[in-house]
Amino acid sequence: MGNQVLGLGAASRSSQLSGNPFNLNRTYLRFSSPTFLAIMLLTMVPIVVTVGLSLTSLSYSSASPTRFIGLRNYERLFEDDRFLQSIPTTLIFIIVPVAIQLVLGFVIALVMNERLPGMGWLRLIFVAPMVLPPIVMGLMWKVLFTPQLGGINYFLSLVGISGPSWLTDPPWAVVAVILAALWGWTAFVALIFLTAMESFPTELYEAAGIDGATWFQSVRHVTLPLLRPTALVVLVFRVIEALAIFPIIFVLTNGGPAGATETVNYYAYVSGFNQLRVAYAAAIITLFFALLVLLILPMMRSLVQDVQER
Amino acid sequence: MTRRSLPITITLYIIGISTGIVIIAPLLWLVMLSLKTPLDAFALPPLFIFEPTGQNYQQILADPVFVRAIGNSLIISTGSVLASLLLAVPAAFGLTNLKGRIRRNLMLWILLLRMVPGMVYLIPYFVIYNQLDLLDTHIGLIIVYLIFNVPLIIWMLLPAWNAIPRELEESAFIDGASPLQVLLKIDLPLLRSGIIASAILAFIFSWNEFLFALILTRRETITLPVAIVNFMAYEGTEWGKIGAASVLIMAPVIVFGFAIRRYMVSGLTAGAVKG
Repeated sequence: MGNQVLGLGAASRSSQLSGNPFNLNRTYLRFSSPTFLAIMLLTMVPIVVTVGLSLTSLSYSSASPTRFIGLRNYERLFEDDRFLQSIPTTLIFIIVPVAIQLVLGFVIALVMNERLPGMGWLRLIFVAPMVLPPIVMGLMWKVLFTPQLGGINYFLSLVGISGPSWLTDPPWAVVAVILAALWGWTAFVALIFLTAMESFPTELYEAAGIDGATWFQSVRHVTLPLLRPTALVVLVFRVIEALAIFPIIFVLTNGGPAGATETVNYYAYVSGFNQLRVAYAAAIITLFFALLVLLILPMMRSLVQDVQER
Repeated sequence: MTRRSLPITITLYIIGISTGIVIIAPLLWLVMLSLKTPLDAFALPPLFIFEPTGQNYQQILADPVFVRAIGNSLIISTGSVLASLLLAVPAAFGLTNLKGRIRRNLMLWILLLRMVPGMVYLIPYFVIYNQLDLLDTHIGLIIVYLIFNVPLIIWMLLPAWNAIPRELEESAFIDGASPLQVLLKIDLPLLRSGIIASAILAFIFSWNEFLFALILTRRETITLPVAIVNFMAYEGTEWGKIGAASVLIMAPVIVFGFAIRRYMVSGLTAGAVKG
């Protein structure tokens, strides 16, 4: 309460208009709070319910009554090979695509930033992967990876490579999902880098030119260092959203073959909605969410600092 | 500017053109597939020149499930966008005028919400909706999509709001306007393009969303992304029809995407469009 009063005092003092009641935080909170309360309700209640459920035995596949079983679901998780296998799979599907997206996205942004004559269309078509429904993206890659429908293996055969059976051979299925993820999200990374590059002061490049820097040197010593903060933001967003490949895995491999492409959140989906072990799935999600919060909270603070007050 | 040497310029062109081909080719392949007869679709080597047929589109548009899914997707996406705007615009107005810690904390919280993976909400919403009889209803999905669309719209509107000169609002206050009047008469007209862009992005998100639609709908309110997956399960070999359905689903979002491409980066960093 004391804090609030102090805050209000500071707000009205800093106003250029003395005696204008509308600069008070209280007035504006009236506009914001209904929405924030509604969203709070829609998010916090489900999260609490998830944690609560994870401590019970709720299962839609068994007739036995639901009981409170404490941490039993969590204990079981650490003996569940399928769960344990899904952890490295998840890490692979986060680290590999995001790393390649950052490198490729940087290279493509560099190319676009040169404003080569006749290449303006590239910017336009970059919109397509960004808005394409993920489920359509998954279907599209399913078509391309299916040997009978030609696509990728046909083009490989043109250069004398006999293509693998992408979706039925475990390691190649992992590669297939990664390729689809690269197609889907590299354009987004490139566009963010490009937006940042376009805001860089041209004087720096002019100075580099006067000093006799080659094109490579100016990229290395001007562009790259300036891009560092943007790269951090992109990294945070991409890591957090890397698991949005769920629909792609769903159509492309369904988590298979032999669980090779099953991520933690995919396994949570399977436990909850195929095996109907709702409480068990809730335990997987709770664990996953706790790790995520620990991981992203420190990164978030630095992101919000960029948002200045007007 | 530093000068590029000719080999570098050529390399840049090669990278640019191959990037373009890699992006376009899969989409063209899908469009071609949608125009092929089943026989042509399985021809090896693949046919690049063939007599296009509209039969896949005719069949898919004659399918009552698919037609119902179009209606459901339109109702749910539009409903969610309208409800989200109603909640997000006043919230953003308040937020942009708030000062100090409370503002910082609310912003942090919005950003955090955008980042929570949908899977976290999936199980509780299924259990709760099961109790409340909200499974397989339009309103059920509309409510869930608020979680993603309201923060997205707020986050997209804040920069636009910061661009409105403070003096404009303050002179209205001197003339005796209330904050609500300032919002409606001064800010909203100035924010029109930002609001439309954020509404379109929210529409694209709702239209594309798959996970919640898969779990929270059944026969009655099935949306397009779920309908097409069911389609694949039941008519697995009819790739032409699957291609046609894909093209029909992606056409509107690609058109919308082109229309708001200037806003794409700021909107998407507030959270991906992809569910």
